[in-house]
Amino acid sequence: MHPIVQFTRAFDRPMTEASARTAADAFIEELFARHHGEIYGYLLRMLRDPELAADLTQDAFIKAYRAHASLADPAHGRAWLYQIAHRVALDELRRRKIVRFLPWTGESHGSSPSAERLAMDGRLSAPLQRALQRIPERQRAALLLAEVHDLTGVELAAALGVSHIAVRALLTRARESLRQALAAEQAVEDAFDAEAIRRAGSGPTHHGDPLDRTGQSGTRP
Amino acid sequence: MNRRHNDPIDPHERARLLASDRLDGELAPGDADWLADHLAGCPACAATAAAYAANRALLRGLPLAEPPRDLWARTATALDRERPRRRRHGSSRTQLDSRRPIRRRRPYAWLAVLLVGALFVGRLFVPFSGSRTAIVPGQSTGLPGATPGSLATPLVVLASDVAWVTRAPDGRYAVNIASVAQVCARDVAPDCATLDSTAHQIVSFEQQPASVLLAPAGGQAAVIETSARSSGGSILVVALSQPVATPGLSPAALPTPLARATAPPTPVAPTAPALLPSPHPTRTPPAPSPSAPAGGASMAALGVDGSSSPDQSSSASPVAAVAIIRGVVVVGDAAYSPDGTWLAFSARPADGSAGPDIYVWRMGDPTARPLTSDHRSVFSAWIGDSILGSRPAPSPVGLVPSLAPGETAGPTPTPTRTPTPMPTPTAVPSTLDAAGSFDPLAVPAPSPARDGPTSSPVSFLLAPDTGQEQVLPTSIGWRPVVDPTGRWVAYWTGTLRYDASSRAWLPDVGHLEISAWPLGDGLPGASPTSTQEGSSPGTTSSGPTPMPTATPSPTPTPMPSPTSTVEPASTDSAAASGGPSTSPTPTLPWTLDPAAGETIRNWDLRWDPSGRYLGFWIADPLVAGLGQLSLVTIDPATGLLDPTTSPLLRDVPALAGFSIGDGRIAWASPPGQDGNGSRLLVLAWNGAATGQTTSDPAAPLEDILVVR
Repeated sequence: MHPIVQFTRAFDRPMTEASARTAADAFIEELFARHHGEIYGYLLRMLRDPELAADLTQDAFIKAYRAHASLADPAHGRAWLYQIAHRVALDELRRRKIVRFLPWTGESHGSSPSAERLAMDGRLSAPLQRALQRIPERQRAALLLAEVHDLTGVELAAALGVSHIAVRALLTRARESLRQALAAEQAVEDAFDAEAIRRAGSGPTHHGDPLDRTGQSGTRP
Repeated sequence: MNRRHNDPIDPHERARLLASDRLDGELAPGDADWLADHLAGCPACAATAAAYAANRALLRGLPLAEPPRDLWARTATALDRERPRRRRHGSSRTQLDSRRPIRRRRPYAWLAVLLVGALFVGRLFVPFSGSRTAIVPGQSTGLPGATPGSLATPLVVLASDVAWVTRAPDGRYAVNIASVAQVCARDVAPDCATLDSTAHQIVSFEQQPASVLLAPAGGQAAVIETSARSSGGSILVVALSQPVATPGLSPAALPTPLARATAPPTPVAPTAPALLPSPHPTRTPPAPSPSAPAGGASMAALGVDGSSSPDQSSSASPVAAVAIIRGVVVVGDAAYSPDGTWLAFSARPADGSAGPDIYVWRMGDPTARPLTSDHRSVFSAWIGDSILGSRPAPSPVGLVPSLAPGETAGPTPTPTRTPTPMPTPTAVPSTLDAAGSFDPLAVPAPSPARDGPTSSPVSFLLAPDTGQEQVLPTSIGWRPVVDPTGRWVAYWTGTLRYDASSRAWLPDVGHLEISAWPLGDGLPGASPTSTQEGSSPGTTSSGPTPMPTATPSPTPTPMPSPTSTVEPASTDSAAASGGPSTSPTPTLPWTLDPAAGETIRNWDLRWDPSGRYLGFWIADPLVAGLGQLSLVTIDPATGLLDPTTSPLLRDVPALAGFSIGDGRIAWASPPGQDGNGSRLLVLAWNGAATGQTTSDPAAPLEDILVVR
């Protein structure tokens, strides 16, 4: 039952022609069971579209199924899967030129979280989510994979298809970009709050507020 | 070599690079020293480095997302379409259009695979209200459609009870208890058997308790409750009868709006003394309790609906709970002694007239009594039958919180390596219900005052019966917790800062770490048992002992982990080289917080009984009661993170309060983490295998409380 042991055994089976299909099936089922949640989470954070993230998660596992024989060392299965998912995400971003903002609080389908929790999550993560969207895709991917998904430097290099040295520089640039993006977000927030306070003290709201990022005067995004 | 990347000329650029590298792993000693020096002289760079660490914490705190429940069905269907092509074309790429994912076009497909799963399991699926699928207890299906043997085999683990508090349909707060004997693959936990189906309600309360502790021997629980009023909180000791399958009956009219304990319809002894037996005669008369009047009065004020027989559910005998202390704010932790005869905690008056002291209650006593009187001591844990406590080191005049009028401060103990006389117990004034609220884990304000006085911590051992004190080496910092085998101790090391608003000493600059427990099992009064033959430390009765002999490890360098930082100091090499260390001070094998404690303000450290697993919950710096839970495996030979095992849990969002036992850890998820309400989650292991199970989600607005 140990995940690693089970995972390894799936690969250790003799790859005869007769057993090839069984091994591939077992492989993909194991891989899906262990990693579909994190792969979906990664793709969701990259793309910010739950349905699209689900579709691309499916795509990633189909690609993994096709290419399972190319994985030499099953111990690297997770990083290998992230590599596939990363390429799927970048392909999608390039193909669709996604430039859209979807408010996301991490709640899954059919959920009914408390208003308090939603407010807390929104307060904590909304500026961060916006800041993440402001930084380059590769930097965003590097940050998410390193900080959220705990890939090691070697795994990250494999997933991103760059050298270990390059990963180091990429992460530094990503952290600096995020710091500046968050500072910018904070400045916008502060300006918004200041304006809200000013309005509260000066009566009814007016239209055409330049600070309103949603285009709906008097409401926050 | 790429000079721009690896050897930046601009020192500020180099500082940013190293500050970033520091988050990913250990810096070389030269780089670390250079960075420290540079940051000390460059406030902007220091702010940048701090921002990197803070942003990392923000990223790790991003809410989780759960994939659609039909994702596997959709993927399996797509795979089914892929397979014929594979057979036709061998291993060459297929013509499957990955841009056309399966989007619930064939709902019958996942129903079919569910059916296959049901047939494999051999048990009947029981449709559950809502979107979940409940499975016959003790069984698991794995993923819908998983092939037999791939995921559906439940893992048998050491049977262990877990208990948690949820709000019952009748509006009361029920303590549920369930036995965990089988768990399922962790990835499919949401669809695995739930704990609720086998749970019993053993007691319920009208008010939501802040914390509930079960006595090790069973039959009794300590309930820490808060009050919305200014009178502060209290600790109740409640007698429990045998758990029954039927949920507790509705109580008859109870005398007070205080906590009402509802016993199941089994015979319950009619009087508190019988329910709360005293295994030992009270040798010292208890000090006057702050505001628990007489025990009888307390009992009369609290109700237990104990029916004399299952057929007489309406005949209540409202006597089975005792308030052992009232009018206080419990500070830090509370715990039963391993043998269950004592309950220790620290508390301060609710009116804020004094800081915290350590209290003990012996089973059978009417009230708890203070063991310290310095108003600066906090309870940390039990080791054997001794109490571990901490207090700030003696500090300049004026740092001790002012006392209430008429209150007499006891002597402030002076750190010493020799036992000191027991401080004179000081009765907490009876006028303590002026202000204050309950704070079970002393969660500090998000931004503790930065201008308060600072101090360093001192920890000590206390004998619960005599109050005899033994001060520990200063290297054992704040709130130490010793593993039950007596080999390792985890604690905070660093400075403390006094926060006037909460009248508490809070961690300031430092970090959590583990080292060899310097007193071994020769501690007077302590009786830790070693489960590792030949690996226990020395047995000198006082003073530090050499570090246990370390077994050479083929991979002496622990795996890099975001929650562990291997110290480059010689302590590591000593531990890894197999040579015993003669250092009188604890070693610092690794730290729990690579960010040097910048965001740690509160935590909860707990060892499993074997001393092999350490769970640690780190409080969120902004949201009280919320934090992240990790579970790591400790190499018994070195005290380092086991290099062969990944952390079983890493930064999992969790509410405050978790429990760890033989082969399992239980915690409560915050609401909204998976689109549902709070849940009890149990991770169990049997050797190298691990699995997980969970409770049904609570109502969206409510948190689940783990009973410890």
